[in-house]
Amino acid sequence: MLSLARRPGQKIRIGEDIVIIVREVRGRQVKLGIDAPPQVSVLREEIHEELCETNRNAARCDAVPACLLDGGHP
Amino acid sequence: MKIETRRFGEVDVPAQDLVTFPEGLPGFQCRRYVLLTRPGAERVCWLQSAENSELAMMTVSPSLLGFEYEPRIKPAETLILQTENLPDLEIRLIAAEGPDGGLLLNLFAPLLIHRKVGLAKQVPLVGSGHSPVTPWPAPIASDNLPQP
Repeated sequence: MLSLARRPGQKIRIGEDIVIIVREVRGRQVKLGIDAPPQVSVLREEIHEELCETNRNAARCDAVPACLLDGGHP
Repeated sequence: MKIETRRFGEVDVPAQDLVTFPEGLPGFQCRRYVLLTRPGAERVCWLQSAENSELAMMTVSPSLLGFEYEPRIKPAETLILQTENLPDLEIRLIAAEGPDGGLLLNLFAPLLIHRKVGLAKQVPLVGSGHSPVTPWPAPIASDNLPQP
């Protein structure tokens, strides 16, 4: 993995059209600004992980629950 | 084309029914799926991988919810589906088995499917307040229960 040291206000460019700027460093927290084309998905990693886990859980189901069978309730 | 599936055996689906997730579906390598409905459970559409016989998920239409579900999708997010026109897209929710025979619906990240061109995408609605594990049917709040 590439590691770069940056100071507040400095930027990193990824490819032609993605720019990440270090906005603020306060204690243990870094605030980043991300400039990317609108079709590029930018997500916090923990949200992506949650999405993966939720999908994997859904793929473990084998049978349609009774509530969704035709004539089932509600 | 014939697709091997663990849950439904071998199924024969027209090639134009294939749905491709160009960005993939989070959690899986597979990008090509088909939507299958089985007799007796027409409210469920299984999103079955066309590449991995083991991989399938239940999906349901938001009309099942019993309340208005209007995800706020930015037009730029649907560019990859070759449309900026939301009515071109079918919205489906991935469902998992929940407690007590109910379901957990992923309202946070609906599937957008453009059937006409066979493209789909899962869109996380960051900041929407929706949960990826919303119980359905909705639990009855205890203060709505009849008093003894």
